[in-house]
Amino acid sequence: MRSNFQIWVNAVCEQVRFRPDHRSIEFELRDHYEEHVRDLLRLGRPRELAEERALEAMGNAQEVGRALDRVHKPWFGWLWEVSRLLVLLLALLLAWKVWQNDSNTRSLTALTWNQLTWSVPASAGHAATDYLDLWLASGEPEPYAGTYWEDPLPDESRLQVPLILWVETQDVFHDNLEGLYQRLEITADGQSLPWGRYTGDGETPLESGYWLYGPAKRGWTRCCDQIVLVLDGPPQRVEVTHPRGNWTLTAEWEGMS
Amino acid sequence: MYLRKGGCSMKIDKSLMSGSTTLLVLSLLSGEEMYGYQMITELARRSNHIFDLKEGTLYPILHGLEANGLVSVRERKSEEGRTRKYYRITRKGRKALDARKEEWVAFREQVDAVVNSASLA
Repeated sequence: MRSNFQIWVNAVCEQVRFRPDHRSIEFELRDHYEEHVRDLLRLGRPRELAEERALEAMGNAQEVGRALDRVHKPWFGWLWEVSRLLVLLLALLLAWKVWQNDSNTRSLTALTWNQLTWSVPASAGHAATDYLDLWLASGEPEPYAGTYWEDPLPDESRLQVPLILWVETQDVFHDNLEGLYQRLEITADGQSLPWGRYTGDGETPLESGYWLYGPAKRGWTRCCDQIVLVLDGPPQRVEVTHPRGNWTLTAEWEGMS
Repeated sequence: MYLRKGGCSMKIDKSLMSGSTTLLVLSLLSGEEMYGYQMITELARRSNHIFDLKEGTLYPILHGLEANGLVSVRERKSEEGRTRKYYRITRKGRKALDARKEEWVAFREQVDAVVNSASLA
């Protein structure tokens, strides 16, 4: 059997058109009523009388309900609920977009700078500018597999010679280092190579990938990339430089002739 | 709203007090945060049980003040371990309270002036 208070509070809530608020309204009114009953019991009133007095003190249910309805406006309540839902959806969408981002970046988004460890071989050539640290190491030449873009097409006797390039910046975030790569000037044994003789133009994903981390403009970049030279024969010395940089990186192959 | 004085009860016109309930509630909250029942008992105590508000009608007032940003609300556990909604006056609420106090003083003075002049006539 429903208590008199339950009948009263139901009558209050019936007047409030915005149903999602019914629960909190009932919670608050019930807490008030129960505390009043406890106070009257402490004063020695019999329970039945205490409940009757406490309920009477709450006032007219319809009057209270109508007054609450004027505050808990349905259009405002639903607008609030919808905006909360939209914010939640937006947050989920944002999280999904971040998750969808470059897989190499994604796995590092929670890492600190110190955790972005890598191992640059001691033999790698090193150059530093005000905002960049670069290292270059030589890779093992292999027969040309013909998978890289080149014009004109090379003959089958050519070699593909990998160069491993590490780029590091701190406190400055670079979300795209293609501009750096595309303006690199590379010479193999003193002979300048045109861009078509090495890859890294952004159209061919390079296996070693990017290690990038940081918010929009302030952050960190650690990028390890591979540049593949297409040469007629094994090189002895390759130099990499940039027209706007006063640095030169050198990679050497011992015993090559 | 009822007025009790000298052991007898006198019902007073609700409209006379309806304009001052916001002033009363904000004044109560200007000292400390409170929950609904606490406000009712405190109001009765401070007015020497002259003001005896129908308790359910307090909540539309409080919810209206909250909707207007004059009070903020939070749930916290009381000393008895019950979770309750506590109301606290906001900065905007304090400004509104000051304005209401000034209005009240001006209103009271003008009512007194008219009533007193009428009784002297």
